[in-house]
Formats: sequence, C-alpha cells, structure tokens
Amino acid sequence: MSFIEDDESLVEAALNGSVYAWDKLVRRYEKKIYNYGLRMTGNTSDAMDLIQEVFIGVYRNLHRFRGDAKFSSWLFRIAHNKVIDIGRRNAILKGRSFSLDDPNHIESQLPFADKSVEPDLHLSKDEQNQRVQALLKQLSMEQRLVVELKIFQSLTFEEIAEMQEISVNTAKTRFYAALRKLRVVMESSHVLS
Amino acid sequence: MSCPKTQYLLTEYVAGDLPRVVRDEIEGHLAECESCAAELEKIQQAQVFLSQWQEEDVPHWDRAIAGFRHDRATGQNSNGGWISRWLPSMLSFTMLVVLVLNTSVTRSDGDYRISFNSSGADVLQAQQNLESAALAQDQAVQILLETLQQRQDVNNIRVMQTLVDYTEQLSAENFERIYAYFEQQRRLDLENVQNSYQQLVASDFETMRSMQQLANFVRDQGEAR
Repeated sequence: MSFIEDDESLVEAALNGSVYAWDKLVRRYEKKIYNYGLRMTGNTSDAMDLIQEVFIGVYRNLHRFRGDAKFSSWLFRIAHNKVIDIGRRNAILKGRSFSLDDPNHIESQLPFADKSVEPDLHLSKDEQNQRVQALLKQLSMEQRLVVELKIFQSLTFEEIAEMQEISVNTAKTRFYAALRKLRVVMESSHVLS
Repeated sequence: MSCPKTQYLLTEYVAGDLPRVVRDEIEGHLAECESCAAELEKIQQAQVFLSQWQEEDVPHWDRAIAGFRHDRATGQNSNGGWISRWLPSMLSFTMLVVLVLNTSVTRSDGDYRISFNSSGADVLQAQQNLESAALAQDQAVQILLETLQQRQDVNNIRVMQTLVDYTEQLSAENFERIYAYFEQQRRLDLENVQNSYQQLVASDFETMRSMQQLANFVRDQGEAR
C-alpha cells in the first residue's frame, strides 16, 4: 500500500469500493467543510446538514470526478451549491424570498459588547466565532461567498471568478463592497452600542 | 474630505496580486491621501476582525459511510452502472416516442378528436363495432335472463314437489305412529278387561264357596240341634 495518499488516489480507491479510502477522504475535508458551513450559514445545525449533504453528493457523483480540477475545488463547488440550497430552503421555511444579493438579516443585533474590533484574547473560541458569524450574516450570500473564498480559503480572484462564473473585476468589486459593508456595520455597532 | 480614487484604488489594493509598479503607485497615493488611508485602515480592521475565526472541530457523525457502502454495494454510481442510471430515462423516452407517433388529431363536425393508435375512419369503424357489440351483448343478456327464468321456474316446481312429497311422507308416518299407538292401547285395554273379568270370576267363585261353606255350617248347626 502506498504511503502517499493524494486525493486522486483516494478517490480512485473509493470508486473501487474502499471504505478506508472514503473515510480518509472525508476526514481530510470534513473540518474545512464544517467550518465553511458555520461561516456561510451561521449555525451548527445547518453546518451539519451541509456536511452530510455535501459528502452524500460527493459519493453519489464520485464517478464523475475526472481529475481535471483539484478534488478540493470540486468538493467546494458542491458545498457552494448545497449552501445555496440550504439558504433557499431556510428562506422558504421562514416564508420569505431568497436572493443571493440579499443579506439574511437573521440577527440585527451584533455581539460587539466590548466596543472593540481588535482580537480579544479573553473571549472563548465560541464567542469569537459567534462575533464573526454575526458579522458575516450582514452580508448577502454572494458577498459572503467571495469573502469566504478570499479570506478563509485564500483563493485567487481568478479562481473565485471561475467558481462563481463571474469576471475577475466583478469578484474584486464584490470583495471590496463586502469589506466596506462590514466596516460600516462595525462602525454603526460602535456608535449605537 | 473624500477622494474620487478611493473605491478604484482600494478595490485593487485590497485584492492584492498587483504588479510591483502599480502597488508602489497606490501606496504613494495612500501616503498622501488621508481619506483613502483612513478608509483602508477601517477595511483592514474588518479583515482583522474576520481573521479572529478559529477552526471548530466537527461534532461526531457517521461520515456517510453507511450510504457510501450501500452505494458501492449496489453499484448504482460505479462506472459500469450507466444502464441502471439511464434505463428509466430511456424507457420513458421510448414510451413518449411511441405515444407521439401513435397519437392523431382529427376534426369532424367542428369537433376536434384526439385518438391514439388509429385514424378518424378507424374511430368511426370502431364506434360502429362497439355499438353492434353492445347490441349483441344486450341480446345475449336477454336470452340469458330468459333461460335463467325458465331454470328458476323448473327449480321452484321441483322444490315445491319435494316439499309436498316430504309432507305426505311425514303425514303417513304420523298416521302409522297414531295407529300403532291406538292398537297398543286397544291391546292393553283388552288385557285389562280380561284380567278384570278373571279377577271378577275368581271373586265370584270365592263368594259362592264362602256362601256354600256358610250354608253347610248352618245346615250342620240345624242338624246338631
């Protein structure tokens, strides 16, 4: 058995029915997908739904993965589609319309009680992450996605543009607009709190 | 005080990946323009804020292994499983083609008629066939009803005859039983009468003998005197 187990080898082994390869592949990416889900959906329940739906989608479509692109890119493309599905489903359940360019407005009150945007070492991991989640919820789905891809996944704007089927300039503009909106929200929170 | 270049310059600067010359040019502007520098600082604060995110561990879950095993076991999505994936679609398409090829629309008397697997003339012929078949069926039903009626009558007569026979047989048996009863009673009565007569005769004999004995006694007493 080879000790070098790249994604493509694991995919091939999984296609041949290797549960070991599948388990290894899932373990390699589950944390990234889960955290992606937490940031994109804003709650653990939807993040767990996402992780399950993504990997079910992966094994059902594993035979379609040709290795033309990186497995991780293919995986996150599936995750991106599932996140939009979950957003649409939640919108229907809450009886409101869903749009990629509308923010959720789930939590209008931001947890910036300390009036500081500097990293706070006294806050727990959960509290820190909740602050980030609350801030991200102020963005539309498409803005959140470009922030996610750029800041948390360190993709280039060329890769973001390709994934979202938009131009590079649009991706850059969307990213700047997202940061600007976050800056405004943070300032408003400072003033109002 | 705002700068008209802010959005354009910061969009590129924040995006990064700039050629060295362009980057130096923007940084030169930022060193001189307070508005752009202040805006950049706030935007970078937002980026710093987001970077506070710390990766969370995944709660326990089954890693979709059960589904993966089932999927692999059934071979539903393996490379050789294209037949099972496409068979339903192929069958549906075939049925659709057959349906479309065999469906015709005809117009008669101002009405549109949609028919399957036939022409308009075929439809008329089919209707005539249907009507004659219905007529024949009515006649057959009528005949069948009459036959059934006749059978019913015969059956009724048989039942009544059987009932009468049974009743007669029952009555005869009853008469025989009554006759036997009376005959038995008659014999018993005769026996009783005979016994009574015998008893009466015996009683009379005893009486006569007693009287004879009494007479003898009286006579003997008279002679003794």
